[in-house]
Amino acid sequence: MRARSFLLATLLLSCGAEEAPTPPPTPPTSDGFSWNLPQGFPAPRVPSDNPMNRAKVELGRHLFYDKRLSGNGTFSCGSCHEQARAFTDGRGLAVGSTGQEHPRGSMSLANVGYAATLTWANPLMTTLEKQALVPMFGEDPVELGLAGQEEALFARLKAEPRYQELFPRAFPEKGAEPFDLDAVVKALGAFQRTLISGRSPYDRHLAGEKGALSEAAVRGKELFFSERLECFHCHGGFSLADSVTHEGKAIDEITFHNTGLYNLDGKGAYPAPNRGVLEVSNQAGDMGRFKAPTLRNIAVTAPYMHDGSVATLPEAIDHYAAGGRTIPSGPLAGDGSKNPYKSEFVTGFLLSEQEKLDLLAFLESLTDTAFLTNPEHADPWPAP
Amino acid sequence: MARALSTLAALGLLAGCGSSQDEAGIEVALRLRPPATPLVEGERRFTSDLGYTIRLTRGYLSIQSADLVACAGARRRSFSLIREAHAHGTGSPTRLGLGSVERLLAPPGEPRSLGVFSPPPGRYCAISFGLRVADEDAEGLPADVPFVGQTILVEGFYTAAGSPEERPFRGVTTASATGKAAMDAVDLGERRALLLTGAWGEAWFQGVELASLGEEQIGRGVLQNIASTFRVEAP
Repeated sequence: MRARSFLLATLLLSCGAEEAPTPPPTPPTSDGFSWNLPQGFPAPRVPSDNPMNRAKVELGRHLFYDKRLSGNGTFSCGSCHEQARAFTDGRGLAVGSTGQEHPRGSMSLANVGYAATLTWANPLMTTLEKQALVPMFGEDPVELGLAGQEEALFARLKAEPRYQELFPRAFPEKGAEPFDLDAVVKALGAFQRTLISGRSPYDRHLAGEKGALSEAAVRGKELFFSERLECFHCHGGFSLADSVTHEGKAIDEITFHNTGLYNLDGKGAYPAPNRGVLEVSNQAGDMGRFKAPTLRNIAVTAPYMHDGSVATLPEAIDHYAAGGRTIPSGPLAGDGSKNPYKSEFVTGFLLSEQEKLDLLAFLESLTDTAFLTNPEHADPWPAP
Repeated sequence: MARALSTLAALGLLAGCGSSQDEAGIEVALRLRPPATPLVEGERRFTSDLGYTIRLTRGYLSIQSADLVACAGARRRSFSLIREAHAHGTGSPTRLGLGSVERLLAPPGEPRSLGVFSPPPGRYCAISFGLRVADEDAEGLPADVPFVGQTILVEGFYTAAGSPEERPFRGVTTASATGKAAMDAVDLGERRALLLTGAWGEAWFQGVELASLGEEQIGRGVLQNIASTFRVEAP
């Protein structure tokens, strides 16, 4: 009888509704961890060998912001992934702990737990645990600069009283020796999976809150989800991204896109070493293909594109409206709109000035200030 | 007995979601009228506001969709778990997936049928035409010029004011545009059938600086002009 009443209630709620109902809360783990999911968000997919628990998330947060995770003690993950910037760094190209410039920009970590692939253009990088090894031990470019310093790293971590408590609590199965690389990357992965952004004005609008969006933003939303602008094809779904995965998803569609930023030789070339998936696959058709990142919090993550070569959101809109970027002179000269590998969705569009302002208003409505200021995502270490 | 009643209630509620009896059978036919200006020797001729005398000798426009647009604030009487996004080329009760290439040199004549909407009851205030690149299977693809992957193509000759010299021009773009044509609000809760006729203005070259713009900008300019002059003739 109770089941039948639930059915009726569900049917009543369904009439006229546009949104899937809020998912039932996931049961907490034995130490009290549970997802705090925004409306319409599924649970992130969690590796079977790294189940979530509160202690692990807390350990991951401490490690994420700990400069002892760099070879020279000057950088942490948080140095390039600042919470107030949706875990980006405001630079066009990231700079590592030794001052070496990275060829690409720091990606936002908002909803990174839902990303089916990680980094800008590597279809083989699919777990946060594996990805963490790149900034830690990568040598070209040097990011955290820990290559060859594993023992020194663990000595530093063991000397920290907080870690003496956090590591055993997070990994009780490791017994007396919880300080190892496996624990570090799993804790970092667990923390990053909690970086979920879905409480922006746009989300409140979807939930039915009157006035959550300005009239301009509502018009901008219609443009964003239109076939004319095509934005939603690559920046769609709850995460406003593609290549998304989550618990219960049967098939992960992995996609990368050439947006016509460059066309150095008239045959589609992008400047090395930023040639997209081609760097991994060595397939000509993958030239210039990069991941479409989430647009959540996009207003605070300038500059844009994989190499930070587009400074502002209005410029980004102009780029897509033109159907690609034309660079008239210099070493990067070329007509990106004629790049033969360009995505079919980057055909260009006509946009009035008012429509552009409307689209900007919508993009700005994706800023989730609760996420950007959530103390659970913040640096736990005392200021120096 | 209680089980039977609740099952009946559930079925009734299901039927009430977007498929009530009063919305069955509503049809809105849409057709498109060719430009009214007669052709001259197979060409369409213009004089633009910039003083150009223009002979259009070739022209195609890709219309990929047409949407029946509900009036702002109109109460929706249907629901869908699928949100605003639509896949290319698919239709819906208020969308025609057209994939049609229109000849800009079509002679004046009777409007051509584009399709029939089957909308839910409601108040509708506009038709929106999606002008986007032509697919390989678009209807009416020209045989005289490659057009797949283009939204508009115009070719011909122009003469600047005071100039004795006639020069060729070409405009082509992949850009997308929307031609939105407002109409008097129609309440489809009361009308079962409606015939709408779309058309566009013929000021195609207004403000388009043929002498100095490249093909892409000419194409965009003409596309903008066409998109901004769509209209629906009074039903």
